[in-house]
Amino acid sequence: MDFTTLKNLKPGEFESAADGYKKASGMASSAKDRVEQEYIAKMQASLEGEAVEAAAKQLRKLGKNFHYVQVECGLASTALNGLAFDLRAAKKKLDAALADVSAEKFTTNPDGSVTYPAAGDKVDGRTPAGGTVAGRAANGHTGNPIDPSGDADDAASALEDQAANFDPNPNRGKAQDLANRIAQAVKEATDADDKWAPKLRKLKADDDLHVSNSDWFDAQKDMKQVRKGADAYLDEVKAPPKDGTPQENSDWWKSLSQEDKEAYISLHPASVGALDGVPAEVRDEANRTVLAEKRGAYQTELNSLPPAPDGIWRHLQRDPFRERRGELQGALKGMDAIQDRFDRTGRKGLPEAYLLGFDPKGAANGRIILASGNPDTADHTATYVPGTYTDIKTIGKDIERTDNLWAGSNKIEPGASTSTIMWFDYDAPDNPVTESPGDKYADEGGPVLRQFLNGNEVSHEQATGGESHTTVIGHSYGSVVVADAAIGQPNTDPLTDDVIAAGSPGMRVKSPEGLGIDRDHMWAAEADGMADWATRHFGRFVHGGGVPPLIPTDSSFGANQFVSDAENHGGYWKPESKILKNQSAIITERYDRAELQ
Amino acid sequence: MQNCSKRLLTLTLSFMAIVLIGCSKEMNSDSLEERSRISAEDETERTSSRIRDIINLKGKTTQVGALVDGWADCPGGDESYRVRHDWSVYDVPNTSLSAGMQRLREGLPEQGWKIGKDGPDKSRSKSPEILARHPKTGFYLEITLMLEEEHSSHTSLISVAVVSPCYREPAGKKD
Repeated sequence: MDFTTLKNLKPGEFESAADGYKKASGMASSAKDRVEQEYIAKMQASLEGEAVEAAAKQLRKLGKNFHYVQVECGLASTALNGLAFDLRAAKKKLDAALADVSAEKFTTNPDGSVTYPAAGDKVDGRTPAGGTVAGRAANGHTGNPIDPSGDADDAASALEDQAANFDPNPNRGKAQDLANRIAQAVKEATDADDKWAPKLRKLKADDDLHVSNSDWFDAQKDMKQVRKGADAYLDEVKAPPKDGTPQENSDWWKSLSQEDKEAYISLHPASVGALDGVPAEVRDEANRTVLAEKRGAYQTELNSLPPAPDGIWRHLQRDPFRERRGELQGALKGMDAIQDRFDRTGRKGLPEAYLLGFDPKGAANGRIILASGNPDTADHTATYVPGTYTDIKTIGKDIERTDNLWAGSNKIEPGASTSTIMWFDYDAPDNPVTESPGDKYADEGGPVLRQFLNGNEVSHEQATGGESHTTVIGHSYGSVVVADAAIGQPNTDPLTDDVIAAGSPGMRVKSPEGLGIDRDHMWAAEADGMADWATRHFGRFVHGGGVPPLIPTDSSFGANQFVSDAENHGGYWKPESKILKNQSAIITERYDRAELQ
Repeated sequence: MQNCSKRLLTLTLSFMAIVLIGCSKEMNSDSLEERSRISAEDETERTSSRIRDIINLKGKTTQVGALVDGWADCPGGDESYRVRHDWSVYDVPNTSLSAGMQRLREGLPEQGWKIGKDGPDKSRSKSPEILARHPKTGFYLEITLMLEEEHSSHTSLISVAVVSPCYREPAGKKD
């Protein structure tokens, strides 16, 4: 970077390149979708056998490659826009300085120095000669008490002033200023170049066809370093409201230009993915990037840990990495379960899955919010809140449950669209004996659930102008979280249309009215399994409402009671259980089809 | 009750309950047939095909395939699982659906199914329901005839759930 380069620079060329990468990113995204949803699904629908499975595996790898291309091209596009932004600022300064040089009728030289003509009062009978001055860019004051570069600037500036004072040609001072401004502009352009060139170079992919865990880990690092450089560029874009309401988040997202939206998803996928009120498709795209990057990072870290002790004495050997290894393996298992759900789309006739929330840590056991079907457009939306023991490492089972709910709902109401959401975003009790009785998990989880549901309302309204029919299903301790969320709602705005409490140990109130729910829209099912029986019968003393404490399956609570599975020799786990049939009836507003006591 | 003694009582009772019932949970999966998930899903979908053939109606069928049953709790915990296939036949006149239901009443026993219940379910609509189990394969059926009036916004249909027995994951499975 030098004066001549900057003078001839067209920042628009970088922006065009950025557009090119953006298009490539978009094409990769479409290609990924087609591979995952069309090709694999169609192939599996018409063919069977090991060869098909092997082909599907290869195609999935291809899909992942496209995803990687999408992410990296997105970063390249943002980086180039960031570079263009910084260069434009420098160019603007340069152009202004050059305009002033013209106005003064000075000239610039290829090295950026400024030549000024003779001028001023005659001295010894001659007009003071013209000359040429080179510019000096400031180092900048740091503002610290000891500031050597600031001091140097001040000293140099003082010297220039003195020289100008000594020279009887008034043009000299002016030319010096202009030369300095030119030098400053070139310096800023040089800084931009120095900042962005390494970042752009790092975005080069390695040349094998395999996108590895470390490639994804690198992608995460790429994002961080591009993000660091793009502060000035993104500052022009308003940041999302801090602790905004879903409506505020929705309004913020709507106010962004398409380019800004892409930059934000590219650089801040974790925060965009977690914003209630932002469209489901946007959250999904952002969170899938987070998922891929976390997967790469966790697997890379796991591979780097020393292996667990082996052999007959392994229980006697110290293993300081045991806990971390377990954490990483558990999180990876959960991430695999999420990926399995993506793979089931199309293949099993299940609708598109939307990852509305993802964080391997979350409040403690992970944050996973996964919807089958788009809640922004669905006629019916059900949110399932799991209970004790829920954790990222076993989240596969909870995801399967919401798939079953989707299938059960779709079969009795094929003409309507449904979205079933597995919502896990709270610190779930890890132990039915020592932890379930605690209140704090629900106290902390309730507001988070409430905001999530409100966010769905807002983005659904934004997408369709209307409302979805909503059901919230609280399973064992999950129902206490639902209770906390419902109780905190304003009276005029119920948390949801229908509430199902399955195996609830109590909901802090003694009737549906306490939750702000019409009793016609409150449904209760008994627990499944023996451990839940204990939670239910002893939990009522901590979670039940009223004196003596009532729980939703008590007839005096006032909820509609699903038929008792105990009559059918007990439990959801038996095929004879009607739990799926009944939940599906409520989800689809087919109340007359639910089997009640 | 004071918060403190409330907790103490809860903990004591919970602990007693856990000790008493702890044993029954950990039944093993040795008695279960070993089958891979893909094979179990295929078997379940084949069973569904046979049921659809008995119903013998031309209408539309919902598309979702057989899925692992997340609501199941098979003996043997993580090493075991069960599959269920939820689907329905619709877009056919009510009389045809009723005829299809009747064909099930006759056709299921012919294929070895034991019908455990054939009568109205416990919903307000009192829909006709057939519950059946196959003694040889261990499969279970829950079939409901859901008829709607002419002017209803909902479509009439026969709703079917085909539930497999519990299977054991093959050893050395990839998750």
